[in-house]
Amino acid sequence: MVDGLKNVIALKRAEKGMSQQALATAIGVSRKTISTIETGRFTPSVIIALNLAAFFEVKVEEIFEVTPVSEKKTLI
Amino acid sequence: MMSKVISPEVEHNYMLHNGKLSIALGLCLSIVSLDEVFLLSEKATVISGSFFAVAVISVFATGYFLIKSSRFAGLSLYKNIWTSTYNDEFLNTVNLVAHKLTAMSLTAAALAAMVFGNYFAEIITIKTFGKGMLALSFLSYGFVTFLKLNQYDED
Repeated sequence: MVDGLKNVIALKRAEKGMSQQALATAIGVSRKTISTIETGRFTPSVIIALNLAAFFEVKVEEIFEVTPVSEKKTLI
Repeated sequence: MMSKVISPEVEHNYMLHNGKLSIALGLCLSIVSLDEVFLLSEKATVISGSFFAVAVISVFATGYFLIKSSRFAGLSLYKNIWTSTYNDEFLNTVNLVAHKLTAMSLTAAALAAMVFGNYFAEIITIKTFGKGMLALSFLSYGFVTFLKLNQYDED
């Protein structure tokens, strides 16, 4: 999983009763893109993040949550 | 004129197909170059038999995937073919990772050739070395794309 980035896409998708493929088609990406974003293996671009937020009619911050830098490991 | 947009699924299939074709082509080229170096086809029956079996399979696989490439004919895949970029972000990332690992493996092979080249100068010609490098690049790209695209199927 990408360090410090969490998301609730799977939850939002379940609320709408959608499959990964349906969500992927709706925002114009592949199913693999959705599945890897959901599991945190792939960090999407701002464009995909905004498209997801627009699709679920919420703010981006309500879908993605990032751990503040101060809570992460000390930077060298 | 309105340009056609290739769907992510088509791009995914195209990339997966390229990965399989790369593996088959890489296998073909590595067999040819290994034979030129170690003369495998002239060895004992077991070795030459296994060599021919792998050679036949890889040649058939290459032919099969080349024929199968025709299903992508007529699609607007110019961007994917000439600039090796994909509209889908995940596919583009996998493609970049595959290219990076291919570049690294070729650099490692070139480094090995630079350091130990004198020891093999009499048995490996530049032509064979070229085939070997090409085989390495096809195999690296093919295996990385194939594995990465199948890696997350359980999700």
